[in-house]
Amino acid sequence: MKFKKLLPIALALMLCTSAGVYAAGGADAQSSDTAVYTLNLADYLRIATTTDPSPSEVSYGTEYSSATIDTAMTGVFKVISNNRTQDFYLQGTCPTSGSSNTPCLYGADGDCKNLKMVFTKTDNPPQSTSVTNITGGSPATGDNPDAIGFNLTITSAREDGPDESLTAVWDTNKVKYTMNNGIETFTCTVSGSNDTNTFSTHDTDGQYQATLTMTETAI
Amino acid sequence: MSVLFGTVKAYGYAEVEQSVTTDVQPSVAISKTVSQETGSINPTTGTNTGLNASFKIQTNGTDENYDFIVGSTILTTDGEVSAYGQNGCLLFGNTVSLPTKSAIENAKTGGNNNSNVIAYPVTMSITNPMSVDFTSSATYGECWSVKVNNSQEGTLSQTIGQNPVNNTYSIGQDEAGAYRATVTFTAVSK
Repeated sequence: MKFKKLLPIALALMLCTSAGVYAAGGADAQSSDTAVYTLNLADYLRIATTTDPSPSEVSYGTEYSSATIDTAMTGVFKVISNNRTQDFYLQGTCPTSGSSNTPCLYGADGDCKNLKMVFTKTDNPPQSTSVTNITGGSPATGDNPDAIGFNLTITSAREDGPDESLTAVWDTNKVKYTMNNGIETFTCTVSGSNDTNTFSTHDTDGQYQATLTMTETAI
Repeated sequence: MSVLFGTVKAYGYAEVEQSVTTDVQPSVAISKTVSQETGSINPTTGTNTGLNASFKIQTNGTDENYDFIVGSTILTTDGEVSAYGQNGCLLFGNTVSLPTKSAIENAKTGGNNNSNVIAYPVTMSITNPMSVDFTSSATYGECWSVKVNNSQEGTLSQTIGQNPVNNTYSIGQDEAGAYRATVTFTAVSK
């Protein structure tokens, strides 16, 4: 009579495991390892002027009672942002006495697409009160010498981005924009005739100037 | 009636023989050895600083015992999907503003409407005579498939290219933040 003994299968399994190299064998055996790759895309904001406005002559009648811009002046800003929510500002300034600059935007409508902007004389610029007399909303020709208000229109266009998400609100003397990530252009055009009570013989001949600035933070 | 009393002598012989039989099952061990799993993306170009991972594989099994699969996942608004695109490139998704499945599919097919998804090419190499190829199967979907070709030990190296796949990076479409893809090398018993 012969007795044949079989070693239990567990022995083989144990040997494999104790070797410390292989995972347990058998029908359900498997082994795996994982790499979790993570890349950080940094915040990005770029605001650039893509079109500088050209200067224009201003015409006035024989009565010197109104001033009209001969050729509309257009400047274009381009904003590129990858931030989910990005704030930025459009501000206007014009030169005033003492080498100062005074905020010059006013009269914005509800969505800030139609505003007004004060231009002041560059040679011997006026007191800042000439500007604030106009931006205050109740101008009197005798109180705003060498300062003239004109219409400013702003149109925006979406060049890239997941959706149209631009909002604009009036914020004291500037426009505050908020948009989602994307690329947006802003076309700013000054044209037409002067705002009521901002042009008169108090405005002497010479060059008048105003500056529009788009920035991430309020100036 | 008679009763017979007596004893019977019995003689016996026993032979014991032991045969030891061990049934060694196929086994496998996969472990990540070295890796660079974090980096950054240049927002103006979309290039990344470089990622890689290497996996060591040891097995006494064969390609008949196991499927050796390198799979991947990316999280979308509809759950996890395979992160592999054309030619085995790897898709990364924004971890906060999750991409949609349609954005994933768009990136996989070379489109340019894939917000919050960025794809980078992948280079795979493995110790000879093992081999690795990108494939798509009914069981595992899009994956890199490894054949050990009767070899018992080797190293699989994965390198993520630095330049994004065309049309998958857009500074206007891809929000700032963390982008992630997960890669898993698995041996599955057949």
